[in-house]
Amino acid sequence: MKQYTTVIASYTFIESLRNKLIATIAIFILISAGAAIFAGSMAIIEADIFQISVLAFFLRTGAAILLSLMIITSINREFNDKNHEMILSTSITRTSFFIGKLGGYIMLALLFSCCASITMFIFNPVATSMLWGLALFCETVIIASTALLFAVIINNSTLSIFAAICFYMLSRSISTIVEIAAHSAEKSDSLFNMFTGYFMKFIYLLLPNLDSFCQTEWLLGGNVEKQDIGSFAIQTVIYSALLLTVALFDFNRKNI
Amino acid sequence: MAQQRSIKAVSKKVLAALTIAIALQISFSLFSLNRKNNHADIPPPPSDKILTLSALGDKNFAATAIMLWLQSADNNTSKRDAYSALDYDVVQKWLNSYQRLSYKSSYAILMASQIYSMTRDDSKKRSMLEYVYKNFLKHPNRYWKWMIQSAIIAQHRLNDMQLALKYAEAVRKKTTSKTVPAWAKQHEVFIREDLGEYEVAAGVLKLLIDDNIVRDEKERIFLLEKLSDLQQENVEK
Repeated sequence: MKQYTTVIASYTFIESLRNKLIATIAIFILISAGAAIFAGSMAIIEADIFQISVLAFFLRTGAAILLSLMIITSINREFNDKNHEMILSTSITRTSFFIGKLGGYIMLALLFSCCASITMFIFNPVATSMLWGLALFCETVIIASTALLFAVIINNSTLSIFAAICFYMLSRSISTIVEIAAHSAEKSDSLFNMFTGYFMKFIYLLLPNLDSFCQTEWLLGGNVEKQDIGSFAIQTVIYSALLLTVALFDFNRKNI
Repeated sequence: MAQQRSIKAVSKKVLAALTIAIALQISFSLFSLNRKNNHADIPPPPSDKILTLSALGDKNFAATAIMLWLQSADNNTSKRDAYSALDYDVVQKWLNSYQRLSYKSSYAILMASQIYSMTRDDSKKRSMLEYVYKNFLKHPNRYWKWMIQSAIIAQHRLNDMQLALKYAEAVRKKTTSKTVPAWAKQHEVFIREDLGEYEVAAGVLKLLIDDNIVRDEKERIFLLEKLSDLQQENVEK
């Protein structure tokens, strides 16, 4: 099984590379760096703070969106071309095929995170940029797992992309939404506000708290706790495993 | 074989339609831009949570976006004095939001003391200087530069020596850090000298010399000469 998984993972990564991945990453980094330099040039003082804030936001959000798009379109193309049926007609199991695919996309996430960290070196010390890149890797692994899950379950590019982007936006803002909902519930006794407060807390429990993952604060001289990176790694393993099992559950039930 | 046919293969009607469509789009954009430039109203800021939410939880990016937008607000007016067109109460609320989201930055105070205080409207100028003063009282060692700047503006642009004295005195009394240079603390002395308060100026200067805040020997000699001049002026008065 391990051998099959490795082969599928490496071919998934090679497929992405041949799909103009390097050019896409280069354009993405150029746009991010350009936006950061532009923001810095607008600043009267503290141009470095402006540059780093904009660069971090663009790299982080852009990496998540680009990765989701690449994974969803790739899986949908594979399903439409029936390549997976050909592979599964051999001795490769559905689980090996699926884990292999995820492995390939995790390699893609690693490539994105490395490129983002290297870009960040230009504006920031290497040590903090590397820690930030490590947290970005954890975040992109969760995003890759989510995109794979939606691509398999929904099996429609537009809807899968929409779902993946909604998931990402919600995961990044759920903490703030919960605070707002709690504040509204405290201010009024309405049943609706109370329900919304509890509902948002419930959603919070189901989502990874991505807004705490790669914080721009670290790049601006804030302290990075080693425990934080550890907890991100644990969260990534737990959440990716959860998404993987959900996707496998659905994939095993599909009539192929 | 080429993947696309030559541009000559496109019918003239299509090319004409394309040209008209581009011209229409550019004209419409130019019209919209002119319409936008005719007002300078900025809405009050939403809560910090909403601002954070709009930046997908990234407070620092929210702060950067606020400041870039706020900086461009004074360009959105055709009036000669762009800052007079702005509602300074609302501007200060936005500056407060910026400070809360990016608490390590001094940018908001710089904007208040160096940019928004450039308005020709004296009451608005005063309100911005007061904004700097209130923030200085919270973090004197961090914002002393902008407080001195405000004292200079009060002295030379508002011609309000008492206000300048209030700010300069605050810098001397409130700052405790060794990173605050001696010249910043001495500013009060020169304002008092201009006001003709030679005795008090000499007293303040003596206090500063005794406190050993001046490390440079040449500067120390200069200050001692200044002290002697002030004492002389006081006697002559």
